[in-house]
Amino acid sequence: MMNNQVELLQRKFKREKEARLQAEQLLEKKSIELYDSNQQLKNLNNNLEDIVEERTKKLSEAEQEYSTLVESITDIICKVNLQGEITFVNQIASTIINQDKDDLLGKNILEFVCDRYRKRTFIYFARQFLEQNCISYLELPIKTAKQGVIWVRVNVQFNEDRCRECNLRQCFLAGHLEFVHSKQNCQFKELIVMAHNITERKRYESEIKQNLKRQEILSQILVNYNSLNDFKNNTNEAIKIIGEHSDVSRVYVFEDHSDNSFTKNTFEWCNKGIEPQIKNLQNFSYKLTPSWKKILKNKGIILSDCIDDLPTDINVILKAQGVKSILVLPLQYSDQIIGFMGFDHCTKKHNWSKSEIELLRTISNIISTAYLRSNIQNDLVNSERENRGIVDSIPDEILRVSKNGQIIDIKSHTNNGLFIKEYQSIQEVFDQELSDSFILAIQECLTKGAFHFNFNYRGVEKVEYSEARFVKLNQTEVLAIVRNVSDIKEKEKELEFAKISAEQASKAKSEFLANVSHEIRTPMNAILGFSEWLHTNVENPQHRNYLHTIITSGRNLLTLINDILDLSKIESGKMNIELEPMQCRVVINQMKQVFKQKLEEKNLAFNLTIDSSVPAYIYMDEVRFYQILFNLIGNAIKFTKKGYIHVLLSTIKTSDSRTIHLVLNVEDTGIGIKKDQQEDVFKAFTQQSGQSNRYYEGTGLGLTIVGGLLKKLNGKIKLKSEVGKGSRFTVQFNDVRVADIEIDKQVEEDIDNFTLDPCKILICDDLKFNILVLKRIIEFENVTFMEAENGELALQLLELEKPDLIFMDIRMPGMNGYDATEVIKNDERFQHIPVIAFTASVLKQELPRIHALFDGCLQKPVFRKDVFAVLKKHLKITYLDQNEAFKEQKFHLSDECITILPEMIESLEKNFIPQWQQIKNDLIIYEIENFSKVLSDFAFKKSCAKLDAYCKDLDLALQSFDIELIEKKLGLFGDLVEDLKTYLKKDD
Amino acid sequence: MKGLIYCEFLEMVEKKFGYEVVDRIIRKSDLKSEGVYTSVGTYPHSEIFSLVKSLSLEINVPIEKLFYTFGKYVFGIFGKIYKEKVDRYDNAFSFLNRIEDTIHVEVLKLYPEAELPTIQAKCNGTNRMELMYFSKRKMADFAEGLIQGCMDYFNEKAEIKKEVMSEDHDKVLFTILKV
Repeated sequence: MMNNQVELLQRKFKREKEARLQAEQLLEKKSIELYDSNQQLKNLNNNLEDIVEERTKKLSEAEQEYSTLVESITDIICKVNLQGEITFVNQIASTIINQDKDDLLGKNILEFVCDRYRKRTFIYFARQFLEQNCISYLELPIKTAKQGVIWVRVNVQFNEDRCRECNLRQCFLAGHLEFVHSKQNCQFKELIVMAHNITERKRYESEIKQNLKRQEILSQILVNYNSLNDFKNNTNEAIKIIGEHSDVSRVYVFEDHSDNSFTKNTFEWCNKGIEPQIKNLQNFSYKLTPSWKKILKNKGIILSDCIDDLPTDINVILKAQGVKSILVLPLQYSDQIIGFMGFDHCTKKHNWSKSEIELLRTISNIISTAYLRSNIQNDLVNSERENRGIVDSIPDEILRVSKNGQIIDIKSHTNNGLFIKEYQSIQEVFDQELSDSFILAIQECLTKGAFHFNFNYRGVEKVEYSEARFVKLNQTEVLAIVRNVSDIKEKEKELEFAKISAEQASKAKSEFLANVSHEIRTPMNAILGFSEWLHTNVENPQHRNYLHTIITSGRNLLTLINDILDLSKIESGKMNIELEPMQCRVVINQMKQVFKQKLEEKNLAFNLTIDSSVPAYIYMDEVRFYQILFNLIGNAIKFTKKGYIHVLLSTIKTSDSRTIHLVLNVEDTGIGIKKDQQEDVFKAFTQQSGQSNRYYEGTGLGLTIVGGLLKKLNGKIKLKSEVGKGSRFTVQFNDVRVADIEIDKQVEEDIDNFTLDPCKILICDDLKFNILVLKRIIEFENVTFMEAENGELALQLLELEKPDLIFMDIRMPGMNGYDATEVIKNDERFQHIPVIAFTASVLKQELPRIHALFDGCLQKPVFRKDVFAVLKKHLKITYLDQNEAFKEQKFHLSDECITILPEMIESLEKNFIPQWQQIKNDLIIYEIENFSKVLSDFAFKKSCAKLDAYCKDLDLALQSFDIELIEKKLGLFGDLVEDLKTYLKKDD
Repeated sequence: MKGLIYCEFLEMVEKKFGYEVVDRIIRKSDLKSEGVYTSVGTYPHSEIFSLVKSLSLEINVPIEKLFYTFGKYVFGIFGKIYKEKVDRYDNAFSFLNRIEDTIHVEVLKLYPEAELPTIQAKCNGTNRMELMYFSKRKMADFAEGLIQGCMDYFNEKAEIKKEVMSEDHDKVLFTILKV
């Protein structure tokens, strides 16, 4: 038992011992583990210290860098606590704000924000903050040194997004409201505020904005003007826009009058409170401000910040309108100023900036352009309206056609036209052949630029005629103007027919007139011839008076007949013109004498002026020239009751020195001619209306003949007249040749200083009085006359006796002049005898026959001059010396005559010389006739042969209507009286 | 299994039956450790089953009864050693309720190699609690002893109903009804 106990105890101890060992082992193992881990921790700690040291060093370096960065950066960087107080600030902030850094610390950052922006800035950032935006930006102006302002872009960083210890909302707001809930323990320590200077950018932005605004204005004005309709509204709108934009007091536009001396205010815009001036400036004279236009023209601008520096004349006017600063720009077209546009500042002086001036200049240019465009547009519209009116009212059809006949457009709106809108092509209008021709014509036009094309086509009832004119529009199109000319064609035909009939009728009339006038002239020859002879020889005063009336009436009738004949000659083209040297002065001077009596009767002044440039001789048909003068002056006198008649003859030089244009002016103060009748005065048988035929005598042919003659003489007539004031006829003879010759006056003047040798003259005329007139003219002592009533009788006489000269009438009953002369000229015995045609009618077509057959031609009524010319040519004559003639006659003075010679000469000088001096230049036939008659009586009473002979000569000249001879004979009267005096001296 | 459990078991056996029984069951049990245990050591858990089986044969008491008794005994030991921690709880239910999330967590802090069962606690009112036990050790009787020990520690009386929820006894539901 004991042993069991011991063994048990031994096992128990053993187990306890092992357990203790086991526990010790475990503990030791754990201790070692602990030691190891402790060792590890130690190492770890050492490493950590190194790292911390290194990190601290780096951190310090980074901080240094950061600080340098912060101090050297150009942006403002500061830290601000919740109360808004600055806790840190960098160098640039101090520089910009011009305060020491230390002074800035503790100040409220909002102090530096410009007042107006302060609240806004705060609210903005507060809101950003509360919306938990970590970083937020705002642009705002801040105050700098010396009251300057710069714009900055502020960037605020909210480092902590919340504070656990306090109500952050309240904290933050307190910063501004200076109501602080939590100061010390708020974990929200500070805001980092960065401000980047954007002043420059702001300035650019502002400029860009300004520019954009200007562009907007310009484009708005331009866009407005693009609608062409309403220049007035557009301009009013434009000046309103620019006025509001530039904030001036007044904007105005002036347009100059066409004479440039006045200008007119046409548009005006006034700012609020500014008095409009437009009503006062409707007719403003530039004379009031002479400098105005000068400056505008020279400088292109009137610009003044303060109007005192402008010239006084402008200054005064502007001051009156309350203007303080002004800018005026011209409205121009090319270089011409057509007005101006101006801008006034009335409330304060204004410094005009360059960009402002440029903007306003651009706008004034726009308005200039718009104004011109508006004018042009108006003109265009009017012109288009006119053209449209024309196009619509003419019967022509106008269309645009392409080269292959496509109808592009029909411009006209004619009814019943060929072309209607539905037609697309020429082929639809015409048949194949005509459209081909039409297209060919179009192509021709495209080559030549223009083309004319006549065509016809089968119309509804008849063939229609049309003409098409083509005008090239471009390379492929032409304008075709088509006109229906069927009616014109019809009328042309009718006209042609009418013309032929009229010409035939006219020719028949001319023939008839020529024949009739011959029949009238022939008896007139006898009536006038014998009346004149009787007038000289009848003693009874009453009979003489009757005869005078017969002569006057006869002459008037003869004039009428001559006029009618002339006219018919002109109309039938049978008027012959013979250009021979003519003395203009002589012919013109004759007028004075011809019309003397009438001028005196009506108490009219007559002024005759011949320019020194008028040559002595010109080639001219004297008879026709005389006729023209006579008619024009005659008319002037006829239609003038009181006043004067001026005749002026002058010349116009031509390129050829041998020719001139001769200009004749006849001016009167007569009744004048109405404008609408001025054409008619040149028509035959027309006197102007109201011109009573009973009051104004005449055939009405005068001016028609003048007109006709002028055509023949290469002349023109112009008429200027005013009713009641007078008329002026201007005749111009073109290219008149100057006759540079000295005409032998001797031959001309001394037509009768000869005597015929003994001869026989045969006069053949069916009218006895014609023979007698011719005999009376010839009346030489040695002449023997033979007379025959017709051709047959003349030939019979020839068988008996051979004459030296034959005067042969052409129209005679029985054998006429032609036939008789032909017989004579075919008879060897007689053919040497000169035969002179002696006829009343000479028609042009008869002349060749007369010239071929006869040796000369005399026209009835005959004039002494012509007869003598014939005699001189065909008969033997002896020239007389004039003085000898007188001397010869001197011995014929009777004793009785010589006894009373002194008394006679005294009477001649006292009674006749004054009258002679008066009439010798005027050459008025009736006066000369009177003079001749009284002188003849005187000579008869005094039995003075010499005086008597003179009277006979003068009388002969008068009877033959030979003006030149009359003038010459009359001129000799002075010499005659002097000659008579020589007889006195002899006696002494 | 922690050496502490072996030490306490053998001490309890020694107290009740004397060291002779202790020596006998050690020798009968053929233990690798040869019955040498230290409270800080760790030993295979099969040895406790061998020891309990040997004791059961020795004293003729069923194994289940022995585990139950041992669990009740161990809780008393724990209550002494870890008095401070157990006293944080006012009553047994509040303690049991925190086994999984507090007690076991702290055990693992001290003995990271410990193999602990999973306990799901569910209170149904103030007097009834359900505890679901999961363990590969199949020491539900030991757990029942521990629960009873806990009730005793807090001086509370309750009926503990044990239901085996799986064939191999690794899932067991305890229903505790306070009396």
